[in-house]
Amino acid sequence: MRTEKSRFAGKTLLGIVLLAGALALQGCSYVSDYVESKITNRASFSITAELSGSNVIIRWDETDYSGNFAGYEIYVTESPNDEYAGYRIIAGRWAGIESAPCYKDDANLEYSSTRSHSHDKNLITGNLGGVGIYFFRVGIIHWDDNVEDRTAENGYIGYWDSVTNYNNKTNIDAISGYARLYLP
Amino acid sequence: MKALLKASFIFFTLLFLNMTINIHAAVYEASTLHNAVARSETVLDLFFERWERIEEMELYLDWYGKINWVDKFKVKAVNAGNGQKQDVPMRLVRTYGSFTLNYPLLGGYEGKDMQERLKKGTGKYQKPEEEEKGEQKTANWEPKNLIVGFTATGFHYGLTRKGEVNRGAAGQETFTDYKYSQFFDDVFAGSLLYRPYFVIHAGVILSKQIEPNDDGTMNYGNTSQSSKRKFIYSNLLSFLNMNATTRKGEMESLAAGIKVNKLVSFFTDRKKHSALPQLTLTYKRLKLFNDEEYDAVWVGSARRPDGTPKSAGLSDEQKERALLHTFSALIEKQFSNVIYLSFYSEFQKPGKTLIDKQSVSAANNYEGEKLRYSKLREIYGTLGYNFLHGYSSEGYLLVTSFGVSRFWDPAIALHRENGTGYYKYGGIFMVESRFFLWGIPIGNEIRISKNYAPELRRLVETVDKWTAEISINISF
Repeated sequence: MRTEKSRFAGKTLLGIVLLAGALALQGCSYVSDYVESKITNRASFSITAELSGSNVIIRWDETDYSGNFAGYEIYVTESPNDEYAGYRIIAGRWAGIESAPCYKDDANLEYSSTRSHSHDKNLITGNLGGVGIYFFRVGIIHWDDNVEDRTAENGYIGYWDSVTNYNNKTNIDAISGYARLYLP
Repeated sequence: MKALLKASFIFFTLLFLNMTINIHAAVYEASTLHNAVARSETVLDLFFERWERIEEMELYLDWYGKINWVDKFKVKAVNAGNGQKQDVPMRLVRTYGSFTLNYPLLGGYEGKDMQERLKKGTGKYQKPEEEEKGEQKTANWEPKNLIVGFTATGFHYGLTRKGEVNRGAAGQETFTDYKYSQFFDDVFAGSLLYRPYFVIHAGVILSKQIEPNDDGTMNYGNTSQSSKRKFIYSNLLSFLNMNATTRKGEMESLAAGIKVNKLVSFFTDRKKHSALPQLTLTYKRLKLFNDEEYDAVWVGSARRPDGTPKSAGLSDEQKERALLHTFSALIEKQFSNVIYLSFYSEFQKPGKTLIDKQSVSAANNYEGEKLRYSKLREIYGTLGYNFLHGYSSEGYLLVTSFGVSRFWDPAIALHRENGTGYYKYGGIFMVESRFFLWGIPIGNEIRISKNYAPELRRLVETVDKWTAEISINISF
């Protein structure tokens, strides 16, 4: 006949086994890769790009409803026909983020529910090196601090939700893989 | 010793030259990264290395993480923008995570807390037992506990490419993409410890290869290749180590080692030998050469039995296999928790004739040349100094070490960026420290190395490249 003590010991052992099983994931290769990928901003979700008339339509499914979400940004390679070229911003939620002619602000990029952006292809081909293959990415932007810490003591100027603070106090939290598109 | 001095001189000379000369890097071609036999040896070595610490620190829980970066891998990659091949600089990333949970079925560890248990030091920084236990002359053969444990250990290898993003007024940031095959090796093991009579670990090694998407992302579910190995490790009477790895019922590797000092103390008054360096002897046999596409050598001959030259894509029946036998000696000595010395040498002998693939050409009728295998595979020496030796009785640690080495491997000739030959001299600089947060010890280590033998052994593709590594562990 099992005693209370042996039942307790059995439950304790079962608890430890379950805990070990759950925590085991901490030791697996996927988790260690995940940690490194967060440190180095690894491309973590996919997007699509297509041409509709004279507009490039970028679409994504990634969601971010965290309290630090600051907006989406759209990037394109700085020159055509080069996968390994650097990227530059072509769309963000505020006009004051970039003054280059290829840039266009899009207020919808403020909202985490937004899933697409439309961009005039001529703004790209006319200002970045002509026709050719371009590579697009989407960045998910986060505030550097939690909402209660977006204060003057932490370097925020005035009300925290402004373009000045956005330019100084945000970072790319996640970035997409590229979408490749020929722009005629 | 002469070889070590020579290695030391050559390493620091090359270090100086490297600072002043920009040597053109060869284009990277993956080889041993694909070798699951070598990778399973690596992940098991790390598992055993970690468990050595767990035993010595007498831990109930251990979490350990390590990130290792090797830059400047130039890869001949197709540019999806223009279809042209070009040299693209990439980074080899290796990440390692380990989690161990131990439960005392009988008894428990001594000491009221972790700091008290760490007073005697840990691992290679441990005080000799006589110094710790005063007049005790004979080994204590009365077990204090029966421990059951579970460990999950994982290793990821893969190439990544860094890109830059200009966010306008918001500044410049970087990101990385997965590039080419990514390798994930996981060990899941159960352990039973009834020291000093026995320690047993048994488990599985799961190896997976995942192909990233063209856009630089990756789905962990997209496994292109996988394999499973089983392993068992045992330590009997504190001095006899034995471990074996099997795949599909066949023995893939086998190792047996003796901790000589503990063997001697088993039969004699060990106080007489307390001042002697600790000596460990190990024999290993590993099915390392398998006529795989990524191997640097052909086994037996460069031709198949029907006379046709061997080439990539041989069927399993057409492949020949060869063992590598190694014998190693590790000598460690420390002086009052202030200075630490270690010296390691490993000798080798392949089971069959090996042909260097690079030597196979039309000029020699595709016969190739027999590889003249060096008897010495690996040699290294390290010297460490503990800046906090005055606080070692409180468990604190700050050890700076450097080491020099020489490593021989047939794949070095394939991956080296300059010169010819199958060996390289190298070196390492390490800083290891331990501090306490709310009584819990936090350990960390930083390593910078180039061509250091234990690093090349883990992955020979890192030859002629600087390696940076950071690690952290939380244990109690």
